[in-house]
Amino acid sequence: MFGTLKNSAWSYPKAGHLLNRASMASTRDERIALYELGRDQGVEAAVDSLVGAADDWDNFPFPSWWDSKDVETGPADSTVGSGDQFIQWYSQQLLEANPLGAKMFKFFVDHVPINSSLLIQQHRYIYFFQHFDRCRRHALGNFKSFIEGVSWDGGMIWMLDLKNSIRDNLNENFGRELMELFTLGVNGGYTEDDVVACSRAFTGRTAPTQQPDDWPYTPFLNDREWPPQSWPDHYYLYIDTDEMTFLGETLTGFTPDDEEEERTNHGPEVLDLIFKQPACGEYLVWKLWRYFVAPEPPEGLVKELGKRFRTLHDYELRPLLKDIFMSEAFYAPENIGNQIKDAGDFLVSCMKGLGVGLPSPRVTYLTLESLGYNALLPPSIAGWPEPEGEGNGWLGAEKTLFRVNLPLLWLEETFVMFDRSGGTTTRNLYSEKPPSDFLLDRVAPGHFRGRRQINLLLDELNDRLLPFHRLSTRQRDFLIENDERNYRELDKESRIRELIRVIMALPEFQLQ
Amino acid sequence: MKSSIFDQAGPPLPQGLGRRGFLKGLGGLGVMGGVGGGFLPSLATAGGEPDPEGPIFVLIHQAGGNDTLNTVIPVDTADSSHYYLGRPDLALNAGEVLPLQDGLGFHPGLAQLKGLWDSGDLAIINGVGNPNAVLSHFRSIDIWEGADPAASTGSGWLGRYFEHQCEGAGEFDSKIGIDVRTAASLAFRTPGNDAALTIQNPQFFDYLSAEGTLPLAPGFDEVLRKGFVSGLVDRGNPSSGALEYVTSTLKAALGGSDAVQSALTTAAEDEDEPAFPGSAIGVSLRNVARYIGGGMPTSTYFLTQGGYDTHGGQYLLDSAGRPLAGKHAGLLSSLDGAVGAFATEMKRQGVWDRVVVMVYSEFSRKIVQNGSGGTDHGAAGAVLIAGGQTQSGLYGAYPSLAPEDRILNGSMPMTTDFRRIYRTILERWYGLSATDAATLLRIPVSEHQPLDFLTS
Repeated sequence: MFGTLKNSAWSYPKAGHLLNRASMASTRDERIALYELGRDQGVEAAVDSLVGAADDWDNFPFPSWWDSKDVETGPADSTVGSGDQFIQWYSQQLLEANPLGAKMFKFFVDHVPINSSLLIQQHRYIYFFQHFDRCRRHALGNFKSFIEGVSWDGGMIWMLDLKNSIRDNLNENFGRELMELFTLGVNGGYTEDDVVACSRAFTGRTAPTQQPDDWPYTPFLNDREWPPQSWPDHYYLYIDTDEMTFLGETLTGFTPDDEEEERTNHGPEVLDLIFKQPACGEYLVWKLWRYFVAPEPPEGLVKELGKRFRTLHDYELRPLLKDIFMSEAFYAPENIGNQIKDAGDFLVSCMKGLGVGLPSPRVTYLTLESLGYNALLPPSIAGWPEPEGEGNGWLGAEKTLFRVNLPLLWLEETFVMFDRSGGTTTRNLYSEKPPSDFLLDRVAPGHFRGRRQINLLLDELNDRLLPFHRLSTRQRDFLIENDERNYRELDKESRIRELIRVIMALPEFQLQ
Repeated sequence: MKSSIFDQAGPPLPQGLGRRGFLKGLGGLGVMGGVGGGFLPSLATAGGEPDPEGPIFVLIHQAGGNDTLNTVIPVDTADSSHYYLGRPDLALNAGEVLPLQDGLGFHPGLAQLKGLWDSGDLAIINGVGNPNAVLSHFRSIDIWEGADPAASTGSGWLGRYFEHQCEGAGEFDSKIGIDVRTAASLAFRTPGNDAALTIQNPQFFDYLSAEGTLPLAPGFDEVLRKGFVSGLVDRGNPSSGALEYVTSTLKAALGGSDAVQSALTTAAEDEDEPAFPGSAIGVSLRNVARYIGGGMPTSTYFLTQGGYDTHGGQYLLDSAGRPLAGKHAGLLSSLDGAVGAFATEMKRQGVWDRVVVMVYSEFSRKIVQNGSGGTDHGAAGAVLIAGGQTQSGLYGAYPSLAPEDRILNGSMPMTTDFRRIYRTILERWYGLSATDAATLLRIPVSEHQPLDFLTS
């Protein structure tokens, strides 16, 4: 058994660490409540109680236009673009859904990303809603079922050219990335011949289009249900059902029109073999550790948790997450408060820290895009940046400046955004009043606002915004000195707002 | 970059080779860069003024795997039959290409690059690859950017070079990466030091408007100027790991922003600037030209043009029924327009002799087309080098296309190790000794000799 956290080692900072990583931010009250549960119940709660019934996702229904045939002209009776509405729908869930479910939803969106520019317009949002729905409903479910679903995913069938991969005219894109990025990892023990076999095995899966040049599917479209779903191809000539060798095992050939034969292609057999590989469990553990804990997962732990995930948990995600959150290594001091927030975590932590809601769909879209996270346009099939040693691709210089500026959106209610289209970028001033629950009262209640209460106010802001980093004495001296002047020169609210935004501009606010 | 759970840490970096602490004392200017050759001393003494003689190196990564077999095309070579046999739909014939020499021709979308070839400013290096070719994008990118066929280095070849040149400078002050991706390149990185400014959009890289009020609300810029860094950021509790990284990024961003905006303001007013294409690569190269024109003392720029992963729909037929339209043709044409305008602008600025542009991809594509009008991942391919001191010509043998010579299920084998190009840049452009270049590339000094594409 891997090293679990000792019961006696459970503490308030560890509870806070767990809560912040398992969700995207936390309040002090939540941290105290989790701490008081103790280790076992605390971890249980982090995985189970934070996550309600599976149908909670129904609280976030698709917009009514999602299966419209002309979404590109914009949703009916709305001036808001469909892309903006899609991102708003997604962001709302990151902010308001059950925290660990939202966190795993975000992980899967990154793990198997699809790119809207590679999908035809007619089906773009239909496939996106279907794909994201699959990601959220499997977020705390079974990893193998999830990947089986992904292999039938209309968006992915388009994204990785599976619809064009047919017998004797293979396209390797899907077969390769299924193993390299989704299941086994680049060193997962497969060969180039396995890539070919894997690609052959999935021939014959397709997803509909109305593009007239995409023979031969067009004639069948009218017979198909709407919204469109992927299906096995009618044309058995397109499916490679010959005998083949994959990962050293022989897959027996079959005749596709044999009525006794249940198989339509070798895809399910290939997935079974992939999920039998030790590398499969280890790869997802490695990625989850990097997502939840630290950039360099201990090799021994990855092997051990990977084996448990594969053999003991049968690829169920909840017990794996409990393993991770129960492990001593998760709570190592160097892992606490030392993770750079990704764009989603950053946005949510701003909003939870300030007790505010999302801005308008347009501004939410531009905000996430400026943070480097447009969920419609992943930079590659490998998804968004991952931690790199001490560093992190999320924090390029310009994105760091944007992060420093962003809290002003809620604090000042006016903000300059950058609209990008084609090769040009224009600045636009947006005046927004995002929903806020008496922001200043929550962050800085009246009894903290007196001149002599500055130390209490700093404690409160420190705890709320930088829970893992104490402001140093010299930093506090600087802030107090600055505040003395602001107390004289600014109105009451402006004084508090400046204090908040300066603290949120500190490097420490980028960490969780 | 994606790396593996089984990756081993690379050997320790060479220490003490460089001029330790060279840039110390210049920390106030966020973006200074411009290292290499005779550049550093004048940079140090002039406090960040650009050296009129300093070398500039612009890398353009064709992300996704450029099909170089349809870029530098063997229309009339001993192997042409294999080309036409393997690509019944994709192949271009001799009448459709722009003839180069030895039976090779450029894709017709590359008219301006052909012009540079004709004027003696474009080298083509064929058969470039590495001895450990893999068909994973991410692994291959790590190999290229780390100059490490094992892809286990964890540092970039340019990062190691900069560290060697200005050890002690640290932080982000040595160069700018312009990257259309969201993340900075491994190429510039060394452990604990992601030393490039990543600027996707220079307008965006700003915390003050021209009026001094936007995008930040009134007052905050004052806080920043009045001591945010010295009063707060620098006074935190001792930090390490991620906090140290974030802190140095933030400081470099705040400092670099001023330098970038001032260079852009100087340069953008110029009405004689040639028109650059509106594509992402066009806009990025125009910005690089403006940084140079505006006096940024930066030596190295890294750009990415995405979209080359042409598994499907690589071509469309044009009105004459030739496969000259579609995705790949569009990408090449966009690249051609951007590099062409950049060369024109560099000549106009009188700095073309200071510039080397390198266009490369993480791998090329298979010899035989696939079932969906495209090509799957391949191995060795061609690299293009342009610049005022570049010698036109073919370097590196064109790989054999014969079936028995193919590797990795139908890919071109390499004839030229990619580190020979890096070594050429390090020795003949940045002016390192052979020993230092080999040390940084982690190769024996006797192997992977430089090529002759630069005039000496």
